[in-house]
Amino acid sequence: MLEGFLSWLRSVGFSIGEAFVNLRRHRLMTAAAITTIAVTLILVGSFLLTFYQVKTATDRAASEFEMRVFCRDTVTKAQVPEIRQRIRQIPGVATVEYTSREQAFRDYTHDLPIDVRGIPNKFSEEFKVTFADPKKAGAVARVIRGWHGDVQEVALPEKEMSGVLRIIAFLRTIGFVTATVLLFGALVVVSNTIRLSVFSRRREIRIMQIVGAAPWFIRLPMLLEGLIHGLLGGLVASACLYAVDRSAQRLITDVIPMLARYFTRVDMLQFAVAITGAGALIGMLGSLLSIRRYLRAI
Amino acid sequence: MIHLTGVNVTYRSGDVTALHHIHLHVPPGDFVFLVGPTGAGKSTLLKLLYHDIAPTNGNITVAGFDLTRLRARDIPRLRRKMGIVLQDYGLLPQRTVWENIAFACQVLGQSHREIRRKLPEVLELVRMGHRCDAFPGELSGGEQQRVAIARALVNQPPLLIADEPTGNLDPETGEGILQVLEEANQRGATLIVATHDKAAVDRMRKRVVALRGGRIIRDETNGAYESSGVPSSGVGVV
Repeated sequence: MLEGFLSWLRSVGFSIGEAFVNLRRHRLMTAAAITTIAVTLILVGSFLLTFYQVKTATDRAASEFEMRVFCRDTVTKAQVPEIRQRIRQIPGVATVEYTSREQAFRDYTHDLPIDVRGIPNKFSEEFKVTFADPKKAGAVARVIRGWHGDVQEVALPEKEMSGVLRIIAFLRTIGFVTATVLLFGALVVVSNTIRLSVFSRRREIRIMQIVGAAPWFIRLPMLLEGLIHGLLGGLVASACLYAVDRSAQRLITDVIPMLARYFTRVDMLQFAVAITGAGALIGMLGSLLSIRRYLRAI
Repeated sequence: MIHLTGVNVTYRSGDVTALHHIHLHVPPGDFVFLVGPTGAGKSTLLKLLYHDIAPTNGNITVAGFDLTRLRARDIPRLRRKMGIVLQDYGLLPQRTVWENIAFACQVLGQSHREIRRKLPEVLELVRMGHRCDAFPGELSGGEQQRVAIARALVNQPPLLIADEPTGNLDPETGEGILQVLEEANQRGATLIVATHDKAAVDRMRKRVVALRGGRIIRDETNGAYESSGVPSSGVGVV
């Protein structure tokens, strides 16, 4: 019983050792696999980063749209907090900012080079509304327009907003399709490379089978190798993407500072962990699938 | 040790029948030469024994395993009961002689101490002790063959299967190899050796099973490479 366990343990140990010896022994294949995985992940990663930036920028642009609500002249200052509260409670509303008619008048006449005393104030109590979910802007406007007693007019740049929303939907579709195609391509390329590396070792696999090695014993080192290929490829890709992200940030903030506020800082550490993890997964899956073919052949 | 009853092998490509209705019984401790022209089915028969291929129909029992009902995960257990010497030696080019032989032990999870105890012995048996740090590429054909045999013998399997072990060797080296096989047989191992080595078969006077066109045409106890004209002991004669 104990001897059985010990011999199993020794097999596992030997098998793990084999993985590392093989990495060195099949240097060229190791380099090819790591490079392929790294390049693929850089492609996928830079696409994801770009897409994320464009997406957050458009989202932000959409959320910066404002709706202005003008109250009827009959609305008194005492009613303002209540109306403000009612607007705030409509789903989809982010902030409600109040501007008094006096303030509006002052803002408007501030720069006018004329004497405004005696000119009647035609402004009304006003609210500026921003949206948590720009898609709900239309619905929010409809609700407020229904308050005939209190609300004179609701101004919403509906045309522009629906344009931006269409762009967002379009980007989402494009992003989804491109990411799927890229990931699929990545899997094909990586599993091809790994298949090549396993193919170059079919003789070794065969000899292992001839001397009575258990399938897991044959599989384990190659799985580990796939894992290590993937991890290293992922690390290389992470490093490259980090560098690209940094220089892109610098470029954008230096050259077009006005764009900087649309630029989101990505948590590159988290991103690197995800990319490396994806590499490890691809490497392991790829080798698992490729070895299966050769193990089944017997 | 080996029982084949009514075994047929048809290759997947269709109507090419590699083995016809084979009956063969090999008791433990037997030494059998498998002879016949190229394409007679010798290699196919050997592959059946280590379950590299499965019979199309018929029954095969090897070393207590019923190969017609063998589950894939039991194949390694079957192979550990036998030593297999392949026609192309099957050595790993990036490992030394020592590592190649030790590999067969490591696969089974044997300890370093055990390996260090067993290897010199088997290296001595095949007279390769002086070359244990060499790589297969640095060895002659005969030396590679001896390493392959050492690997097959190292775990002292009860059954040894060799495909053309003297195939590409000069007669003298070939004789050395056969001597090693004979020694293994004397230690109790059952041997199945496919060969074209007429001189060796004639000299050693072992049991000879002759194949032609996928059928057993002769099975003689103290046989020669070519038919002696004496009626054989019986099975499978057409």
